[in-house]
Amino acid sequence: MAHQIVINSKTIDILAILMLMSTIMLVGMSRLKNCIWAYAFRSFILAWVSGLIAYFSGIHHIYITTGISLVLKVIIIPGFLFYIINKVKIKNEVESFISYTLSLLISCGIILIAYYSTQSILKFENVFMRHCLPVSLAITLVGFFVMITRKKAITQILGLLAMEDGLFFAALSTSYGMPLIVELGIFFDILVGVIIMGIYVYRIKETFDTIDTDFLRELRE
Amino acid sequence: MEILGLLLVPIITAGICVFITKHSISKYVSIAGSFITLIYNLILNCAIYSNQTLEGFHGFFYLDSLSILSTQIVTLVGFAAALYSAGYMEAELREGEFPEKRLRWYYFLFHMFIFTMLLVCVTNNLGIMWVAIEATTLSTTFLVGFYNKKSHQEAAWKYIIICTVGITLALFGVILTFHSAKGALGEIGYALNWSNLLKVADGFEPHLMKLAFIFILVGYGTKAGLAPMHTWLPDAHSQAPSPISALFSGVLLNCSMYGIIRYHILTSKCVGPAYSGTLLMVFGLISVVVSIPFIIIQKDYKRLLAFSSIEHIGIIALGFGFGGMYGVYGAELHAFNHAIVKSLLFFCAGNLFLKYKTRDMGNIMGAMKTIPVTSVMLVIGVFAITGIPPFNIFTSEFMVLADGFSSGNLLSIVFSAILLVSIILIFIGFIYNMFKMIFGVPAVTAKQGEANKFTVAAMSFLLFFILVVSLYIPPLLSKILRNIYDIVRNV
Amino acid sequence: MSLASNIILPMLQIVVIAGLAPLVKGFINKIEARLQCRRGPSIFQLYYNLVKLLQKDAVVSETASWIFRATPYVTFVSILIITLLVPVLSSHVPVNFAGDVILIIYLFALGRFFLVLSSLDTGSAFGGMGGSREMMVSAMAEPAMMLSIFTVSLAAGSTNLGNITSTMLNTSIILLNPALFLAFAALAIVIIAETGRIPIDNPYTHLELTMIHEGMILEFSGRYFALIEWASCMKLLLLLTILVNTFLPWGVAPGLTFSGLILSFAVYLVKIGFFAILIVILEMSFAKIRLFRIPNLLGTAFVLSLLAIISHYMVS
Repeated sequence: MAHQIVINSKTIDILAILMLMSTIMLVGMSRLKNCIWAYAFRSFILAWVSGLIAYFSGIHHIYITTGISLVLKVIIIPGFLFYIINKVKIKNEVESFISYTLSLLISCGIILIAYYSTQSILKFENVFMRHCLPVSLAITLVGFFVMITRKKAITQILGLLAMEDGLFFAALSTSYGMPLIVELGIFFDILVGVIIMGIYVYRIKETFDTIDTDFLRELRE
Repeated sequence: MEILGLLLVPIITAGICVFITKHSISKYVSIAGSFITLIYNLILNCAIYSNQTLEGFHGFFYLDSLSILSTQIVTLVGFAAALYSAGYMEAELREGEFPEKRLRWYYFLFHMFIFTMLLVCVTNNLGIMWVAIEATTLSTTFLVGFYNKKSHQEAAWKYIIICTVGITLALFGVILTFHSAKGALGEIGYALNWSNLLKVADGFEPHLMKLAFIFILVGYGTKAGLAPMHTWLPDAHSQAPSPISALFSGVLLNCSMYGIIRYHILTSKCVGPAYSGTLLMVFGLISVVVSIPFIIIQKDYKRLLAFSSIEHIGIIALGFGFGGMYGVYGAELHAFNHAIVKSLLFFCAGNLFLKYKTRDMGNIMGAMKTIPVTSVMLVIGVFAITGIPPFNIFTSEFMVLADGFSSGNLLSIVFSAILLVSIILIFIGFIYNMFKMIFGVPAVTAKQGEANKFTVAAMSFLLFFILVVSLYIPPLLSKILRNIYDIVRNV
Repeated sequence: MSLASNIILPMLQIVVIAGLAPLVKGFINKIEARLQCRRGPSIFQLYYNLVKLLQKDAVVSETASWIFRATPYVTFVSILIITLLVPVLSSHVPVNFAGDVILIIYLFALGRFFLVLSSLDTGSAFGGMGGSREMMVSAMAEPAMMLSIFTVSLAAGSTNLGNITSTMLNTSIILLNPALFLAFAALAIVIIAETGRIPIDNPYTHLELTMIHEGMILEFSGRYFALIEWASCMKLLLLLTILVNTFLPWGVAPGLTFSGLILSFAVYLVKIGFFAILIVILEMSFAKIRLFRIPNLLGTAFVLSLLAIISHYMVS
């Protein structure tokens, strides 16, 4: 049994690292479609982790959230994003305010900070799943970083989704997820939020003829 | 059970409004719905007055003095805004700014917005509170971009992106709170209920709770318009239709502040009031100071009012940060006062916009002669918002300042001194900018007279409350404010 | 034992690496051709090329100095020395001392250094271009390679590849260690870059604007060319061997018994074959990326390897 738990927590650690890698891919990849695939991949891993945790904690409602996140985050949201980028026919390259290599290094620094800052908390935790909290914090912060440095509206959405994934993972790994009704509410908010943002990407493209948010500069002091 | 009714009325109203395409009908439905909510809330107020707290659905809903004050502000300003919307949207519709069938979405989203804000205040579950605060963003994005022109879309995009990011950070705070409470809660706490959490808050893991409060403050602070996370606020306030701006400024900011205060109480019980209080003070002071230059150099009157909201949210945060009896009492009173005064000012701004079709203060002269009723209200509103005695905001600002100076804490005294100087500077900026517009010789082009009677009714309704609270604080309000102090100090 | 480890093992390693290297490359070429619906050259084609080239005389540019003539030998010999430092079939290594991973990295660098010098030596424009690009790629690939190898060293507590392999053999689930997993991913990207495969460099092109490695060796001919080709085949195989025997050491013989070595050889062939097919799949599914995008990919590798070290220190 003890051996089983070790294997499980190690597997979850590895899956956590895979999620972190897919977040780094979001920073390092230059094609929008690949970024969306990276998101779908990360969400898939997240659902996998969620299923594993449901299995070995024996809490049934996590299966429900696993199912929903599988449908919502692996199929519906990436599908919607693909639909949007086909609809607005945007150029495939991601543009950033700072160069890729620098953003990679900065996100590496962010990850370092995430590991460092959770050290004091990790002391109180059990020995299992030690990568989960730092990785979830890192994914959240890297998502935040992507949001503020990318020019395209759609990459900002991807950054936001990364943040959300990181938080979901944090909730899952630290306290076996939030209460079910809260999880459902969060899923609903995310779905509606992404749809509204998608609609605005489309409208901005129609009005400004670009989805480069750098061109949104009507409102200044 | 009683609480559910408060939430159902706005939802039903929204549901009806979405099916009515004729504005001549839907405006009355909307007014009636918000009026029922207002009355309902007054009845609940009396229940709280005698009972202190109400619970519903196995503790899913929880109503105490802190939440009833927030719902009171929501319903009061909500009713005024519904009344004003009827007149304002009618006038805009006649100008041909948008097709009539888009208005049903306006009313639908308007009432959904009211619903989400009420949900923030009455839910006991901190997770649902997060969901509701995020839902306020989602329900209002289309309202900010209602006219669908370039600047409106830009404002809407900024609004949804910045607020959603902020709120997402707050979710991390919620998770950390849950995590830090896990040990203390044991089996009972699987629902993340605030009232349960409060009972065991002294057993929380303090490191995690401190971290959680920072995330909550930054996250909900974004929505509350605390500087430096305020950048969406002037854009959204200036681009949204005026009734929505009034709701944003008077109510939405309060609701987010309400969320912060709930965590402030938990954190205070866990690690002592100094930690979260100091953070609130710092963010509050930054907000006040940041708003000064923008108010002085401002050209757009709606942006001017928006920056003034940042200042006042800062004052509320400072009041809670000082944390004395007068500070908390004054801060909540200030939240109420600011909500009604700022809504009145946004209604005046809406009337100015209807008349002059510009938001540039340099292009407006002699409004007093052209729209006398609005201008008189505007003068009263400006005096009230800048804290001139005898108006109500003077009372609450005075209380906050008095608490800061008398606290004996050096930091609080320095902060109060800076606040005092800032209030004077903002007063100068306000008077200088606004009075240029109100007085002087009118341009001949504008036609004389008010837009219509609904707008005047809405403004008079708010003015009545301003004058009442200026003269004396009703015992009901006073009792609730004192109860809030007990809740915040956790006596 | 001493006879076995002093004479037979070095011979065995050299024979396996030097002998198999053209076959592995031929195998990759063949599969790639079949997947592109071509018949492709025989998988032994590179042997025929080498034999033929070795019989031919070299043509050397008039401006070239001794460096140009020395380069093929330096490159080939440095690779041969690396062959003796890497555990191939057994976790025993012929030349065995602490710190030999560092020597391996420097020997790879030495060979490349001479190649770049010689590419400048002939005065051909393409050579200089290829050389400068090669240096750009390697300047970014090398730190990542070092960091990921150091992570492995830290995890195994040794800087000796033989010891690392034998430690790894005794650990049950290696890739379930996040640090090693990250190091593995980083090293995989670095190997693609170091061996000049798609998407970093296209080994089949002689289009002047895109060549990196091919641009450097454009001026070599005859037996010089044969040595360089052979060395580059061996480099690919050696890097794969390091990857395979460090991270997936199953089947590597712990001692030097005959049956153990035979079994180990069979497993080794399977593992190398598997990675060769992976390379083919990678090359089939990606286009060569633009030169200015290469830093992104290698930067990613660097970040991964840095993370590997961080997570090793922070968590364990």
